[in-house]
Amino acid sequence: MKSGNSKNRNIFFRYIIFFQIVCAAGLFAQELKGKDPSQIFARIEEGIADGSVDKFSCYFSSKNYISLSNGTAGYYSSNQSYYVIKDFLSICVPSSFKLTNIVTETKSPFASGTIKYTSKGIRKTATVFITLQMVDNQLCISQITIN
Amino acid sequence: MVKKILIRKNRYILFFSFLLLIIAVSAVISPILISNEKKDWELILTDKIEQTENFINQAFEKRYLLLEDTFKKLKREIKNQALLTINDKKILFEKLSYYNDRNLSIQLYDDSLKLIAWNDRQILENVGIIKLNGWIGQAFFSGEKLITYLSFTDTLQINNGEYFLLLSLPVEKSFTLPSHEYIWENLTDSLSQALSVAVQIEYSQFAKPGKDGRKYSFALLNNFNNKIGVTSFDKPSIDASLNLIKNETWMLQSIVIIIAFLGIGLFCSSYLFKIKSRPLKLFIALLYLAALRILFFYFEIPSSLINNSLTDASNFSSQFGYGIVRSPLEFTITVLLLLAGIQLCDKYADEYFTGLDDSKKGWLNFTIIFIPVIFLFLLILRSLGASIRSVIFDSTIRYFREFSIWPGSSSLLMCINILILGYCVVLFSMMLANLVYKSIPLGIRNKKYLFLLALFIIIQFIGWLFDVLQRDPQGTPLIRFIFISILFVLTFFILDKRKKTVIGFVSIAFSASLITVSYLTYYNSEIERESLKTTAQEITRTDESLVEFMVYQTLAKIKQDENVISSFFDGSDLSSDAFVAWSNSMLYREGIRSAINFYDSKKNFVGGFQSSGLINNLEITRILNSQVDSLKIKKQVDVYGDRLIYYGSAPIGLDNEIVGYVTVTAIYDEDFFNYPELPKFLSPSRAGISSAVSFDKLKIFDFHNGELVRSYGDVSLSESDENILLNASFSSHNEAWMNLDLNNENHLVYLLKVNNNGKDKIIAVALEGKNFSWNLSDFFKIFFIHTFIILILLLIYALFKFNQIIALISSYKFRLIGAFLIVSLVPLLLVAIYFRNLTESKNNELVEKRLIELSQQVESYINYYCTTSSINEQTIYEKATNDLNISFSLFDGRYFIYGSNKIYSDIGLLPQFLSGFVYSKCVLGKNQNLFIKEPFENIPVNNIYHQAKIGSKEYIIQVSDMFNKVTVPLSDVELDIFLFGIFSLALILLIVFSTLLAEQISSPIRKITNATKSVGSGDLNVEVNYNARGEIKELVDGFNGMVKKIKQSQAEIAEMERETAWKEMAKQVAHEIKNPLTPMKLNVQQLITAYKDKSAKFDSIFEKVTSTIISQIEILKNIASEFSNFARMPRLNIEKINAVMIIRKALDLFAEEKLVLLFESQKDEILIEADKDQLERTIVNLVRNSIQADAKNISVSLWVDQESCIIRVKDDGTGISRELIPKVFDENFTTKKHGMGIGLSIAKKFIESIGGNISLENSLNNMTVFLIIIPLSE
Repeated sequence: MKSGNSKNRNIFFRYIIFFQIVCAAGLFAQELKGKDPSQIFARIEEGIADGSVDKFSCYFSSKNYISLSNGTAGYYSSNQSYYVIKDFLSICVPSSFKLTNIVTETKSPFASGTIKYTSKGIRKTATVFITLQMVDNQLCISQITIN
Repeated sequence: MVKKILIRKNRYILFFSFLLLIIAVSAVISPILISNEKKDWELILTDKIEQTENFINQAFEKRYLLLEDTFKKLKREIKNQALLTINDKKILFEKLSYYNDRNLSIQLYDDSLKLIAWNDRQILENVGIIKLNGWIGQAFFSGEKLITYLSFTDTLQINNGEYFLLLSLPVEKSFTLPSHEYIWENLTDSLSQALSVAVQIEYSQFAKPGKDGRKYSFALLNNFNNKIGVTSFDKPSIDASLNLIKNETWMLQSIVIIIAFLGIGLFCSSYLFKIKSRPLKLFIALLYLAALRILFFYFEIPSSLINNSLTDASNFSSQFGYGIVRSPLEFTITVLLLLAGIQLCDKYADEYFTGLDDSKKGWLNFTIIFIPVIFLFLLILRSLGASIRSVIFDSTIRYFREFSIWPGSSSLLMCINILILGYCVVLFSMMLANLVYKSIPLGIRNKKYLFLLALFIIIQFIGWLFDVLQRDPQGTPLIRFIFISILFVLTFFILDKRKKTVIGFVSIAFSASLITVSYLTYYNSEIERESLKTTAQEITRTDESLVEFMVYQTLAKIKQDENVISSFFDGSDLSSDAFVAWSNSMLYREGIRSAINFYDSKKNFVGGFQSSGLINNLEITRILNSQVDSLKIKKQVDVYGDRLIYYGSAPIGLDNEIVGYVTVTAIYDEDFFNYPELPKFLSPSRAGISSAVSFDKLKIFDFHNGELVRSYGDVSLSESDENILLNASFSSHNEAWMNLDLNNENHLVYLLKVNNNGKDKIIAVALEGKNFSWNLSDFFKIFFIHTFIILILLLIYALFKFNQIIALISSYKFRLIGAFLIVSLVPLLLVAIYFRNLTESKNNELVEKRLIELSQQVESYINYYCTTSSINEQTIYEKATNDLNISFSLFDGRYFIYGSNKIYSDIGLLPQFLSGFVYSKCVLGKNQNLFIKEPFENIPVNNIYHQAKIGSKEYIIQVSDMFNKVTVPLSDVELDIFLFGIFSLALILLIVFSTLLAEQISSPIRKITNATKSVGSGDLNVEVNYNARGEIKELVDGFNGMVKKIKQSQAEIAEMERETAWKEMAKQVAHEIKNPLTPMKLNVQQLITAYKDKSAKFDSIFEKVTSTIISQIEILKNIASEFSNFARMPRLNIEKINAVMIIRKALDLFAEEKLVLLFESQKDEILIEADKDQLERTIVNLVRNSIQADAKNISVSLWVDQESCIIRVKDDGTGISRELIPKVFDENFTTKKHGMGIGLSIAKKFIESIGGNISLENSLNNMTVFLIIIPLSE
């Protein structure tokens, strides 16, 4: 009986430790998520290339400047930014996108690249420019231009 | 009935079959269409291209025809015009000015190409004149820097002299202005929009068709079939075309499916009503609505059908519900379906509450219901707040930023959405409130007001607690207080009896408007607050590397700009191109002081634009003179050491040949945060900073290490103000909020502390608080839009209930209200109009005076230096600009000599000429001072043209408020806001007071009217109570006296009639009875005689006599029966009647009684077989009894239970004592002093005669309940 109790206690403690590690990793990942500009740019690049806003919509700040080649230009909330870009990517379907110029060692990291897309059957290209800014200790998108 | 059901079923079957057929056919046709499209693509492509080409040509033709038409009209008007005297010329100028509204530029030249007259639009020089000779009678394009025109010229004879008339219509502008007043659509944009394809036009006869195989190019020909330009557009692609077919098929099928679903709903609705279980009915109905919403969402209807601002996510969108409110239109669909759901819930709740036997409810029941309901209610209020917050924060629509009474379409739709949402919330909350009310124990409910007060206080307290416990409460305590108060008033005082009427709808709608607008204004103030924060953050955001990148990006973009390259080839001035490139760059948008210059291949300056005078052109030239074979950026610290300057340069080439160079220069100043040198119309929107508030309303203060180093705004800080700001207590995020009085105005201030390169900076951004009239104006702006919407709905309702509306409008009360409003509003409006006009004219006078002063200062200054120094004139003019800080322009006749803001004229943005009108008045008419409003691109501008004598020559000095700030005590906008706010409040107060007064005045008239109707119905117990003095009191007293006399007379007449009737009846009875009695007596006497005489015929006589007596007794019996029948009640007129209507009519007679009379009916129509007059009398009788038992609350409920109609009449009167209960229906039983005691007995007889039953269900000390059960009509 005693050895059984001791075994259960060990398992319980191991479980607690494992749980704490997982939580810490999650928290750490959460912290990293908001602070590593390269990772953010990678997610944005992936999202735009796939035409999927969900991949980077979590990085929208409360006010984002968006300027698109369909004439949309202005400052939008995170909710609006989601649908503005989603609508744009559904009309101008990306075929490829790569960020070629990334600068992260600065207060406002920025990156630019070229996107190739198809709109009404016509293939076009545009330059994409993205800047980030620190808001409440987390990096968020402040500007996306596709012109 | 069965036949009807079958016919109905057949119709639906047919309908669904038809829909199915459409889907099947579309599914079959679509691949056929696609296959045909592929097969015949070449032909189709040619057709499409031809259609597009024709459309474009027609667009040009339309514009050309306008020019031609104007030319013909002008030709007719001026052909006999003399041109000898100054007066003649003035008349000519006037005639040309008539066409200003057509946006045409008109110029008249003589045969030596000298400009004779022109109108108020831009004068085309150089290019325009060159073309005159070569293009007689033809249309052509002429470009003037930033604007391209479609021009037409022809000759005309004026008094035997030959002249040229040139008309030009702007078609393309290369610039856009950030001002919201600027409205312009380029021809290419409008064509692209109309054709849904990108259209490009080269406005040059030398343009060549493009080589891009993806585009189609064609030459634009004028009326002489000469080429004047080249148009190109993207060729339709087969993929796009096939996708279009697929999409349209899908769209059609989606619409059909939705129609089918709606049809299913209609078909099943009748079966739904037959389900007995209310919760099940409601659940199915709500499920159906939810499924409908999902269908709309899944098929993206109507968003995919409508593509304008109503479906634009930038106007509003939220991710709530996976996108069911992703645009204003989607929001509308969602709230409309929500409204339908809540209306259904309300309907079933009403049915549930009606007929609920709540006499046995206790405190436990109340508590079980109260606690969850109150939390649900507060959660709903919070949800409403969160929704309105989203309406403000997730939208680019700014409801309160500018003063305009009528909003745009998307803004209007959002106003409708929030009204509907508010209506849903108020209605649902009322339902919850009703649930709480019905669960209150009956005994307590009778002490209504005291308990309601306690309940009100408790709910307010719980609401306060709820807010305190939340981290981020939605709304303010005031809004919560208002909401709970409105709910109480609506549920417990107003809408007991009027919920389903127009008054109910209007009450709920206005309450919803009040609450939602309160939330809207609250969140607008929140976003204005946030503007201060984002402004401070934006100001401190830019860093050097970002500026360097902006320079790089601008250079890269310009290098590829085809327009720039072609300008190099044209050899034209590139200042306009520089301006266009600058205004489209991030440098401009981010507020970075910058310059763009162009140089030819020999590095000679050929044009440029800069936003400030700080750019060192010498340095640019020096950099350019070094090797520039690729894009290069050089960073340099300026001489003062506090700014970084980026010099970027790049060659511009085509086909490996360098045609020129471009330099982009930007100043990075971490302390710079505005564009003081730019005119207002060019100030970048920087909407992230100030989307809710205009940037020029902000005041910004920059402190370095405790010292104020710079400020923006027309406010200066005193030392104490500075100390207050510097000593603010900052949070852990280095920010602080405070209120501060600056210039005797309360300001909200946001402070942000940053450490920048070892410097402690504090940025303070302040915004003046809105005063009372501004807040009123904001509130009423949206409130009146809601009022307008409600009135439209009422109007639609009125079309269906026309007679009722006419009756309402014709009522005495309504006419009184109308009279009061007219008498008070008309003078108010006149005063407002007068005041507005007066202020406007005073403002104009003030502005004119100020501008004249400025122009006179300039004149004096220039004169002084011209006469006392040898400096050249241009230098004097520039010195005047700098020393006096006045922007002005100088004209010699019509010729432009100097402009302080010449750069804008050089690039073609501002005109460099005197308009025809000004020339006519000032130069020809010699007006000393001419003050006029000359809008620039719809932006209102005031100009003064002052005749100045400088030396011996006469000039015209123009001073404008576009560049010179002129302040007025109360601007037109501020005045409009003030008037609108105050007068809106006055209007509301007038309506409220008029209604109250009209109610007070008309109430006794209505009482008398109702009392008269009661008397007409036979109820003589009515008495009108009215205590005030005056003629009405005399009328009321007279009426009451008359009724008493009538009652008395009626009683006397009845008594006399009864007596007469009794006498007559007695006489009749006596007479009738005497007849059989006489023979009976004779026969008995005969029998006695025969018996005494011991007659042998005694037996036969006995038989004969007894037979006679028996027959006479029969006669007597018949007489008695006849008299008994005669005394029976009058005949009933049994017919099918609507019990609801009859009872409502009966209760209307008590409308003016001082009690609460509640009528609840499960349905609007319950049919029974009865005599309507008797039923009405029965109800009147019961209610009258209740009133006479001192009841203050009487409720009449009506519902259907199985095959019977149940009527319950309940009151809180003195009740009937137990021993008297069995007697209440007895004839002649009464507890009243003056009662006959036949009311209830007659009622009982009547009810029973129609197969029903009336009983006294319950009677306590303070309650009496009568129950009537009547069988339903078949």
